[in-house]
Amino acid sequence: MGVLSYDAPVGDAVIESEEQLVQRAKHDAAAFGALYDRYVDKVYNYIYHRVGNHHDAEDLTSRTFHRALANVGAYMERGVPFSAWLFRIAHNLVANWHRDQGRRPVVSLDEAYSGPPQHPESEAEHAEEENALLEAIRTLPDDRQKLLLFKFSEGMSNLEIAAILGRTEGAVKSLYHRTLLSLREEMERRGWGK
Amino acid sequence: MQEPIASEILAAHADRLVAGEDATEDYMRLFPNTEGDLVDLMGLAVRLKGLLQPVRPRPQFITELRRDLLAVARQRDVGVPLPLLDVWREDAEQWVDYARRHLPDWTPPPWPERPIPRSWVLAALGLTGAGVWAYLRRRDEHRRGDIEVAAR
Repeated sequence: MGVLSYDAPVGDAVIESEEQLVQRAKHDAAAFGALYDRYVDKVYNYIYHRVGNHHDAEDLTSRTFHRALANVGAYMERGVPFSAWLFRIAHNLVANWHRDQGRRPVVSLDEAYSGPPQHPESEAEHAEEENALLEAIRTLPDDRQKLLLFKFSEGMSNLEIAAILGRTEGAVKSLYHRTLLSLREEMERRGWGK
Repeated sequence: MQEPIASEILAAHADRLVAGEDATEDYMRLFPNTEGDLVDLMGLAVRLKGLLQPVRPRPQFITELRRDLLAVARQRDVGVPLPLLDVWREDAEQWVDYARRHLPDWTPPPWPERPIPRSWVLAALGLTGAGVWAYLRRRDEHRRGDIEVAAR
């Protein structure tokens, strides 16, 4: 983590349950710092894949945590884990960003596919297909986009994803199956079928 | 193939993908009657795994945002703004950062995370106020005494 990781009482944070940590974060800066350390990468990753550039991803990540800090006092678990609450804030900010800016998100493929192209034509076709897949992902409902990002980008288990999405593990597996079917259909519609 | 079974196979395939292993051929061997449909979906999952690489924020961004958040949180905890403390803290953090870069074996001492309790601040203000009040009162008594002496 960052150079200030010694700032947080790591030992306490490991022993404490997340619920206890969140309760303490309502009046203790260190506890909020521990929650920040736990989620900043995940929130940033989620936002980046939704907006497609680092500048806005940083801005929205910052606003997500400032909003979380401002409202953590009013947060009550009631079966909704803190992570789900945090990602809901991020989701709302991203939705506002898309609405206010009226922009189409474009993820830079330069970072994901850096390196000199060996076969420029096939590389270009490959990049085009990947762009189409990204666009297809963005046409999916929010919970399906989250599912794919949490699974493939964050490497979360179905159980963890289920907790955040408020579903059962079986429902997440079924949703994953249906998401793949939708994506394939969307790709075929865009001319990238079998 | 029934949908729940297909969902289970795809979920297991995805778990192995996340663990860094493309097990598409294993599942094709395990379920030789698997429809091409399911194999296509596994192929799509492999492409998704390659596409959705994790993207991490800059370390400097993480550090700066953390500092900002903790400064706001500390002011919230204490209930009164303490900008001078924040300035001192930032200075100290810069020195720690400098020491970490130039002295790799050095470990910073534990940082006192807890803010000054509100009661301490109020007690300090109360003591200072009482001291000023006592001083002014004593000064007035001296002046009155001087005036009385002069009047005699």
